Amino acid sequence: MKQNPDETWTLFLYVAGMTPVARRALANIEAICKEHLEGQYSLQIIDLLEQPALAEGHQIFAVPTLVRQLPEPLRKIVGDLANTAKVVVGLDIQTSASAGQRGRR
Amino acid sequence: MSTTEDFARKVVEYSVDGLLVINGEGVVCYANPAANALFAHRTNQLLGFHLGSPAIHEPVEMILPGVGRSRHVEMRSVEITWEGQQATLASLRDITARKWAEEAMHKYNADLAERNEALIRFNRAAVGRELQMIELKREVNELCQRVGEAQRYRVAADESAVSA
Repeated sequence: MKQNPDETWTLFLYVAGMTPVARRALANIEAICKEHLEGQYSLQIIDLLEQPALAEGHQIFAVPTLVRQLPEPLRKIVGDLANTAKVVVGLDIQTSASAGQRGRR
Repeated sequence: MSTTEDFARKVVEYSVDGLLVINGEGVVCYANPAANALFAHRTNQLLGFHLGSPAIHEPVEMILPGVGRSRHVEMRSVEITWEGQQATLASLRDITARKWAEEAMHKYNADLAERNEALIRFNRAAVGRELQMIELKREVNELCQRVGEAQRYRVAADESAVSA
């Protein structure tokens, strides 16, 4: 299910080098975005090995961490993002199932 | 406090692994002393910090960036109920020493393989040169034989072949 088409999602994936876990996290978030946010998201990869100072901006304490900056409020998810259900809930992405639940309320 | 609660509290507080309870918003609701120690280089107060919700299926290795060398941490997480709300219990094991040992071992193995390769190259060159010398000595001996002179060189390989 598509999100509000007027909404632009701004995501940041913080990593420390392209480790296997970082690669998994990237593949997982790209798959989720492709399925649910096609055409309305921007995903920026921030490598803290190259730009360590950027960890302070979003107060990144562990990597990989995914940050949803927009839409507000800011949300963070840590790990390899393999638990798709948790990522979808964590990002507050509206799926067919969640829309159905909301409709039944 | 019941005996069971006291036991559970001690297990958590004295655990060498960091334990965090993270609520649905990704905010730390509880951190044991080991977890506080893991993040001590970044903050002295984990409680209330917006760390983020763990989203992993299996244990995953994470990196804790900070001043100097990063720490490697293995993380496991499980859904729990904390004060009536759904939350995540994250267990963090510091595997930095293991990672360093693995890196050192990897470097040592690579160094060993490189030395071995150099030794093989040297051995091939040395043996090749030796075989060439034996061949040349044989040729000289043959020429000497043709002109009726005594053989000039003793070729060890031929002697052993003769004695065999």
